[in-house]
Amino acid sequence: MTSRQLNLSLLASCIVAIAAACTLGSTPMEFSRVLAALFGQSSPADSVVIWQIRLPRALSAFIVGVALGASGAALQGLLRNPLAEPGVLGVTATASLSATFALYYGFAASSPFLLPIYSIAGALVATGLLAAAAIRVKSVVTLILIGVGLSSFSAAVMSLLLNLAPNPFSLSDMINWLLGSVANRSFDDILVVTPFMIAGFGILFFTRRGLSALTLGEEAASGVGLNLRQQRIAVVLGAGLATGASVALAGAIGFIGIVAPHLVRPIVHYDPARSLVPSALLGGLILVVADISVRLLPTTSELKLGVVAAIIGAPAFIWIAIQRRVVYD
Amino acid sequence: MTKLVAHKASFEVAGTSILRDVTVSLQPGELVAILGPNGAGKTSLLRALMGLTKISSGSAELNGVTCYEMAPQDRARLVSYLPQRRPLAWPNRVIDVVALGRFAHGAALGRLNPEDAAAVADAITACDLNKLAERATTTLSGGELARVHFARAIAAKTPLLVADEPVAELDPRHQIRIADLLRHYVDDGGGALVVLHEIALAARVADRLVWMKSGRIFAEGTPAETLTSQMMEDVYGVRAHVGNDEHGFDVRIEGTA
Repeated sequence: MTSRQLNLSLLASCIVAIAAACTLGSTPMEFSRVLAALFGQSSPADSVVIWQIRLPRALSAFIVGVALGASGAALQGLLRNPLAEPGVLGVTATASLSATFALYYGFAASSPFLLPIYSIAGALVATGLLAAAAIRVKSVVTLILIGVGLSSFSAAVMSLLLNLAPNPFSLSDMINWLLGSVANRSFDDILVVTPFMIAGFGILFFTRRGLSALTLGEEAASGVGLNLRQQRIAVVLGAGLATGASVALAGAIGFIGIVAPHLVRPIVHYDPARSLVPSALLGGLILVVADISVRLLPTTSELKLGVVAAIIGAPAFIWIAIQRRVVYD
Repeated sequence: MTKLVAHKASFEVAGTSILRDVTVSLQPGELVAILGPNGAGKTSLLRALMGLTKISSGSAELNGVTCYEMAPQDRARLVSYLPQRRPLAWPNRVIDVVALGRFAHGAALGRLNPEDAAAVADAITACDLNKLAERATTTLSGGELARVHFARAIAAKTPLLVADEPVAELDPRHQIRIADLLRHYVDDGGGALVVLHEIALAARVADRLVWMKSGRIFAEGTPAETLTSQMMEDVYGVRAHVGNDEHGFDVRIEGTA
């Protein structure tokens, strides 16, 4: 399968999955009814279900998956390690912590843009720290351990905030960030984060070729003409924007950035450049499908998307770590 | 004509002198081998010439432009670099790794333009990799991998090539193969600066030997001029018998000096 065929089939699957997300639910609708609702040819109730509940929710899951899949693929290319990912490296945790701060002090209420800005700032701090550490420490294992430390630290501060939560309402608000979900998102929520997502994804898209060059190791990559400094800054910025925006929309959802690129890589001959777009699309597809199952599972209270992602993703992480061949780097 | 020149280049790290007043030059049509013991500053010299480190004093210039300040892409179109450590992060196909040599020309893997594709095909043929082109690099032997890296370096079709121990850890047959590839590259009009530890091999293929010791250039000249028992003792601290007949050089290390 060529890259193009892969991308097109993933894109088609994403569209099918989003359409399916609109038809399935507590009130199943036939596809024709969904179409009628989409184009305003149906009862007001149907229109509300589609336009205000199901479609924004499915689209949120999709763009969050896209952002996380692309960030994971790009960070893995930059750090030359299949285990690098916003969640594992502590980027998601730092972004959620920062977003929680905004919620805790009530900043988030004053402008819809403040929550994404906080969470993006948190993500950028983490990716920036990691990139700075990457220059000093040559071992990627050390770098991942730094990420684990960062993640634990953010989790600890988060617990502190929960501990000190002024009232049960803020507590439940904050716990939402910890668990991760796309339930009850509106088109307004999506529009607020979309510019950051597009900027982040756009930057990552332009770093693709450099990610291929990094396959050779930093020294040879520089030798073939890659500007290492620019490449690092661009990937950090792109991944920070995309991950931060996804956290602002959906809270902490981990492991998508590991699983999607891992599945895509063999098909694109392990080229980091050619894995970026399909990883993003597959990330989107996985989250849309996962969110459908969360909605359909007959549990008493609905499972959170982030919880399901972690329950599937964490064992996948361990599996990939075990499979990993040794790279003398 | 492309010219890579270090003039009185010195380099210090935390007060330790790594390079001292090193003057060396490279231009197309010559194969220059750098010899010297571990820690003599050979790799540091190459890195300074590739603009990867900023030297403390003196100059390192490519066509009159300071190497360290040159845009990586501009440099990469003139000089190809084969570093000592060549970790491959992913199990890529051979053809893709070779195609990365075309990076500075704007090549993107999977959709090479005709010029890039031709350069990659030439490099693969020159290094006898046609049968391995679709294989993953993780399935190759050390000798095959060395040829892949060499192919990547010459695929750039640059006038100059800088290589750090391209034959390290290879068996004698593969050492000769890489050495012959280097010689072909130079005979075709390229200029190569190569760090080697295989002294007889260096003397066989190189036009000029640069002997380094303790960060300085100890001696420089043709193999016939400079490869002597005395030089082996002065530079490497070994007693060596050096023979030279119509079949080439023969270096027999007899013990430490």
